[in-house]
Amino acid sequence: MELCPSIKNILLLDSEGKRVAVKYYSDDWPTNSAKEAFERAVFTKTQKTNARTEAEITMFDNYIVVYKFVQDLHFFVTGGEDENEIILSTVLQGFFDAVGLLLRGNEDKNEALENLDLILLCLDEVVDGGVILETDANVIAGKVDSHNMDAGAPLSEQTITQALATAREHLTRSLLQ
Amino acid sequence: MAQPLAKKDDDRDEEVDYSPFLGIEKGAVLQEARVFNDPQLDPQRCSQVITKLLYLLNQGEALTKVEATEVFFSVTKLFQSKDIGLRRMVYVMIKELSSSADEVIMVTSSLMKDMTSKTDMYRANAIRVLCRITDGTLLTQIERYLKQAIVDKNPVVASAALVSGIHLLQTNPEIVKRWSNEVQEAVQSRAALVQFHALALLHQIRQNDRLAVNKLVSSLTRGSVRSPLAQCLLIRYTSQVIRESANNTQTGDRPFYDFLEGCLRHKAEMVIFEAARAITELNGVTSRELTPAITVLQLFLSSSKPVLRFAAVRTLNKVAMTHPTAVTNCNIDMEGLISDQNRSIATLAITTLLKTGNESSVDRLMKQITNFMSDIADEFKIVVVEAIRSLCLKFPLKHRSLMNFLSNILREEGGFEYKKAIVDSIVILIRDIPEAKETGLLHLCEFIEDCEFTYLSAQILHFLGIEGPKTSDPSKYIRYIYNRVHLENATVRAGAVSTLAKFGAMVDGLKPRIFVLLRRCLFDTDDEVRDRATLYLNTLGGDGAVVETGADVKEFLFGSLDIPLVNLENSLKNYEPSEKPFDINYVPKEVKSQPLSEKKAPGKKPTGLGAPPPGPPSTVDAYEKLLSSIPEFANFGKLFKSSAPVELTEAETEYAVNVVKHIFDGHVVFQYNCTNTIPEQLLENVTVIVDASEAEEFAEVASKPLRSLPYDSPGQTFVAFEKPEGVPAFGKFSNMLRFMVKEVDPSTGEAEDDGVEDEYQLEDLEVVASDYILKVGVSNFRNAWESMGADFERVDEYGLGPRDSLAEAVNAVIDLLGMQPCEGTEAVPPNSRSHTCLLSGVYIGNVKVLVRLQFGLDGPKDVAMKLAVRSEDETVSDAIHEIVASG
Repeated sequence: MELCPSIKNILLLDSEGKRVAVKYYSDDWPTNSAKEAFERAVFTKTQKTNARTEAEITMFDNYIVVYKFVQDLHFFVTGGEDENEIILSTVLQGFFDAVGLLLRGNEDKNEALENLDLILLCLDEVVDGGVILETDANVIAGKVDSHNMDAGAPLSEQTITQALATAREHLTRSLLQ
Repeated sequence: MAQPLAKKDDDRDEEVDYSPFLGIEKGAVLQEARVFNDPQLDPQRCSQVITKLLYLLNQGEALTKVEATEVFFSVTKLFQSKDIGLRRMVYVMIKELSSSADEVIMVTSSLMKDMTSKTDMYRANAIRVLCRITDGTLLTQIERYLKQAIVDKNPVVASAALVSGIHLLQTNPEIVKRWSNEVQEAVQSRAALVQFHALALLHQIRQNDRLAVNKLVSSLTRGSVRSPLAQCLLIRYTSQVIRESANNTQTGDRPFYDFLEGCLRHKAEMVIFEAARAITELNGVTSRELTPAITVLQLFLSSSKPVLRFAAVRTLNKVAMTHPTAVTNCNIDMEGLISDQNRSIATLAITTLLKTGNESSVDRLMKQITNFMSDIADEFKIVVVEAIRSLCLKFPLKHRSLMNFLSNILREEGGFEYKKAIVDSIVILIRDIPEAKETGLLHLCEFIEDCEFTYLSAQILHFLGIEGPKTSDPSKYIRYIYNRVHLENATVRAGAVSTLAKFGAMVDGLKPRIFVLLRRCLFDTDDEVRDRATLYLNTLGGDGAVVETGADVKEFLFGSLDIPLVNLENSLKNYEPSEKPFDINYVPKEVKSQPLSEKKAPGKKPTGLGAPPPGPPSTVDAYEKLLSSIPEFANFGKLFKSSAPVELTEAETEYAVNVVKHIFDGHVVFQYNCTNTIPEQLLENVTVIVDASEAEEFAEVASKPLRSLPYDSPGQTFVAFEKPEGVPAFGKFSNMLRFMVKEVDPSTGEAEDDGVEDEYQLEDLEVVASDYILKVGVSNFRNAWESMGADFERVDEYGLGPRDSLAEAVNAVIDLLGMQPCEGTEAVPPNSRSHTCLLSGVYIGNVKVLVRLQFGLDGPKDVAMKLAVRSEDETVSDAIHEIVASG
C-alpha cells in the first residue's frame, strides 16, 4: 500500500463529458488518447447517477473515483484502489466548494470557462504532483484570488467573508473586457 | 479579443454552445503570445493569452519543442510585471512547460528572487516551481532558502517547501535528507497541513531506518497530532511497524493496538475509517480486536453519505473472506443496502451477504438478488455469480435453488465474460456436487441450443463428452449434440463430432446409433469435421461390428495431453520432414516457470474449463539442440531435464560463472556459462576442473573446454558424468575454473602472445532430488488423482518446525520437490491457519507423480504437514517421501 495518500487525477468535465479542465498526477495514462479514454469511461459510468446532493463513488479498473455534479459541471477525483475513500472525497469537496466560491455560486460551464484562469489556479492549489496540498475550500479560494490580499497576512487566516469579498472583487475585473 | 462578451445576449440556441474559447486555434494563440515581448506590458491581456495557452494544453493540444521553448522564453519576460494575478499565471505556465521546453533552467534567477521576496504568495509559488525545474547543483545553491522555508511562519510557504521536498527526495535524496532537523520542527507546527506534509516527508527520509520509524511512531502516537490527514499517515506508519514487529513478539498484547482503537473515537471520519481498516488488515487479527472496528463500520453503513457506505461495505466485504462470523452482526444493515441507489454499494453488500449468510437465509437472499440482477452491469453480475458459486460449494444441499438461479441468468442477455463466468460456475458445481450433475448438464445442453459464443459451445461439448457418458441415461444428450452438427459453424461441428465419438466409446449400447450419425458427418463441407468423423469411425471400429473399445483408444480419446502446447508447437516447427516420423514422446514436457513479473494477479480463481496456463516459450529446445550438436554428448539419449542456471560466483567478480545441470537417463552434463568481465584480459583454453569425491556414484566421462573467452562475450564449457541408469543419484561437486590468461591492450584490442596459467575457485554445486523431477502440470488435479488410484499411495506426517509464515513453508516444500503447483494452490491466502497445496510432476524414468500437501499451523509458529503421494510406481512414492524426510 502506498503510504502517503495520493491523487491520480482531478477532472472537471461538462454535461457531455468534454473537458473543462483536467489535471493528471500519475503516469497511468501516458498519452492524451489514454486520458480521453479514461474520461469517457468515467463519464459514461457516472452519467446516470445523481451526485448532486452528496458526493458519489464508484470503482473500476482498480481505481476509485469520487464525484459530484452541479448544473452542467461534473467534478471527479481519482485515487488508487487502496486509497482511503474518505480522503479522496475530502479532496473532491475542497475543490468543489472552492470552485463554487470562486464562481460565486454561479457554477455552470460557461461561467467556468470564462473564469478558467481561476479554475486552473484552483487545481494548482489543491494538489501538487499527487500530494494533497490543501483541502479547505476557503483557504484554496483565498489563495487563488489573492490580488487584493494583504501581502503580510497569512493566507490561512482569511475568513469566508474575506474570501468571498476577494472573489467578488475579481468579478468586477472582467476577463474579456 | 475575438469573442466579445456581448454575444451572451444573442438567442438561446447560440448561448448553449457559447464558449469564450470557441474556435481558438494554436497558431493564432502563439501569434498572440508576442504581446509578452512588448516593452509596455499589459498584464490583463497577457493573463488572457496565458489562459488561452493553458486551455489549449488542457484540451490535449501539444506544443513542439521549438514552440514550447519559444513560449517559455517569452513568458519569462513577464517577471518584469508587478501584477500579482499575472505572476500566478506565469508560475502555472512555467510548470506546464517545464517538461517540454529546453533550457528551463534559465528562469532560475527570476525565481530565486521571488523565493526571497517578502510576499508569501511569491515565496510559496516560486519554491514549488523552482523545485520542479532544479537539478542537483542548483539545489545545493538554494538549499539554505528551502531549509528556512520549511520552518517559515507562513504555513503556505512551509507546505510548499515540504511538498517540494517530497518530490525532490526521489531525485536528490542525499540533499533532502540533510533537512531532517527542520522537517522535524515542522512536524510540531500548529498548521494542520504543514504537520501532514512534514510527517510525510520525515517518514520518507527515514523509511529505511526501522529503528527511527519505530521511534517516530512511538513518540507521535503518545503526542498530539492535530491534522486528520497527518493522523491517517500515522495510522499507516503504525500498522507498518506492527507488521514488521509481529515476528518478534510471540504472544501477548499487540503493540500500538490501543492507539489504533483510540483512533476509532476520533472526530474526523477519515481517521475513524483509516483506523478501522488498519485493524481489519492486521496479521492474524483476533475477533476481540476486530469487534470495535466492525462496530464503527456498521455505523457507517447507515450513513447518508454514499462514500462512507461504500468504504464501509468494501472493507467488511474483505473481512468476510477471512472472518465471516465477525461480519454477521451487520447482515441486517447489509440487506438494506441491496436496494442502494449506488450499484457498487449494492453489489458489495450482496457479495458480502453471500459470504456470511447461513443455510437458512439462502433462499430469501436469492429472491432479493433475482430482482437486483436485471439492473446492474455485467461486471457486477460476474462478481455475484462467483459469490454464488462459492456459496453453493459451502452449502451443497442448496444446489437446487442455486443451480436454478444460474440457469435462469444464463438464459438472459449478457456478454461473453458474464456467460463464461456462469458456465464455469455450473461446470465446477457439476464436478464437485454429484447430485447436481444431471440437472447441471441439462442446463448446459439447453444453453448450447441457443448460444452465440463458439468458444463456450466448444467447451461445453467437450465437457459433455467427459461427463455425459457417465450419467444414468446418456442417450438423452445425443439429440442436443447432434443438433449442433446441423446448426453450427465448423468449430462447433468438429467439437460435436468428437463428443459423439466419446459417447460411442464409453456406451456400447449407443454405438450403432453413433456410427450412423458419424457416417452422416462424412459429407460435411468442412474438412476438419470430415477428418474427425473418419478418424473416429476407424478407431471405434465403425465398419459394422460392435466391439469393446480398447484401452488405448480410450486413452487416445480421453487422455489429457500432458505436453505443454508451446513445447509441442516449437517441436513441430523444428521438425524437418524425413524418413523418421515425428515422435510426440520427444517433445519436452517441462513447463518453464513464469518470471515473477508475468505472474497473474494472486487470488485469481482457476477457471472451470480452462487448461493449465501456457508457459512462455521454453529454453528446453535450445538446450537440447545445443547438446545434441556436441558429438561427445550425442549418444546420451533424450534430455530429461535442464535445471535453471545456478550462480557459482558472487555478483560483480572478475569472472561470472553459472551452471546448468542437464540430466540424461544415464548421464549428467554440467554446462558452465562463463563471462569474462575484465576488458584487459583474454582467457583461453577455459575448463572447469570438477572434484566429484563427494559424489560417489558419478564418474567423469568427457569434458569440452572453451577455446577462447574474450571480454564480455559469454561462452560455455561442459563436463559430463556417467551415473547409474534410470535412477536418481545425488552428490556434491567442487569446481575450479582453469584457464590461460593473456593481457589485452585496450586501445588496439590485441592480445599478447604469451599467457599465464591461472585458476579461479568457484562455489560448490549439488545434484539434488528435485533435479530428477520434471514440472509437469495437470489440468484437473482431482481427476488425475482419482484415476491414478491409491495402489501406490504413501501418506505420512512431518513437522516442519517454526516457520515465518505458512506461505514460506509451502514455498520451501515446493522448491524442495521441484514440482509444478496445480490450480493456483501455491498461493496461500493471508491469515490462513491451514492450506492444501497440489503438486504434479514426472519422476526420472517417466513416472507420473502427484502430491497432495496439507499444511497446518501447530501452535504460534510451528508448521505441520501431511504428505500424500500417488504415483505409478511405489519406489517413486517412497522416493518422494525420502526427499522430504531428508530435506
